[in-house]
Amino acid sequence: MIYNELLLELDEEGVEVIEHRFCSHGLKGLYLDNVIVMNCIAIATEKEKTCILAEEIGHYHTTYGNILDQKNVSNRKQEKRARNWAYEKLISLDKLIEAYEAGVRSSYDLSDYLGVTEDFLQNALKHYHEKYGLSVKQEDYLIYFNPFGIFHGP
Amino acid sequence: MSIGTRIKSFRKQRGLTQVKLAEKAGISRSYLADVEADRYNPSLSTLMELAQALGISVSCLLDNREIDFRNLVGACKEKRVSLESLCELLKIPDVSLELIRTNKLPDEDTMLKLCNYFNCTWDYMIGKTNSPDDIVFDHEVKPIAPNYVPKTIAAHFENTEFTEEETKEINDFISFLTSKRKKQQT
Repeated sequence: MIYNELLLELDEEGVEVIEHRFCSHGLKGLYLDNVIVMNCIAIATEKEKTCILAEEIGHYHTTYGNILDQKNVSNRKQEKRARNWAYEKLISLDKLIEAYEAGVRSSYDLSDYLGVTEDFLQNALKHYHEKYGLSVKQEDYLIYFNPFGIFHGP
Repeated sequence: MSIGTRIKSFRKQRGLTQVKLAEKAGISRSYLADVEADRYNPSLSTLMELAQALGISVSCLLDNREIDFRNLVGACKEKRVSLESLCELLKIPDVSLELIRTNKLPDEDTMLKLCNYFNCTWDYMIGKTNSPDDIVFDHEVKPIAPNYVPKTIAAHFENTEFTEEETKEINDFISFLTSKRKKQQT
């Protein structure tokens, strides 16, 4: 569902998404100058697919240069920036509140509700923790990131 | 035009007889006659001697294309000088000027003077290319398309380093994309 929305968005931006079989299963997604390649056989679930696509879109928006060599610090920074972009794209604070209002409590349910993998959700919460500190106030809600919890204020 | 007829036309342009040219190039008249009639393929060293005797470069003998001084005329216009005053300035003899006017190759000295003056290549001067700093080696060689190198590459992968196989796969995919884009362009 979210995957298709992302695809539509990319189509409007003029980014091509190709599904290609790489022999290596470690290589799941690739971004090259306005072309996103998804290694579909290495991706197990629809959720994972969404997360990987979002990260590649993050590269489209934030990355410049060849960053394949992750031993280089500046490349790692760019990788992180792209991932952070993906976290904010798929899991916005508003969506967390929306899930809370829908009665979602456990992290498994939450990842299910958001349509992302649990790993991705945990990393997103870690990112928000880095960004906002332990908690952030959004409208009438107080969101704690570690441990995760949402409180509805008066 | 075959190489024999080209040698002959250059010789005629310079007002030389077969005997004189053969003497200058150090070959026998009968051999020169055979070369001009395309009965023999002259060796490279013979060609070089002939070119020297004619006061031109070997490439002029080999090149099939007609010489055309439109670039020179254009460059003159740009500098706002007439061909005559240019020749006076560069001390180019009237004979050479006449050759240029009739789109025939003047002697090497004149050509070098012109190329230096306009700061361009020989090939540009005789109209083989439209770019002043271009050299044409062989008109049948197609220009090599620059290799497509993606400006931005990023991958989602699980390990921190690529194996050789993965690197190869990525490179293969880049070349696949390159060929695809080329096809789209044409």
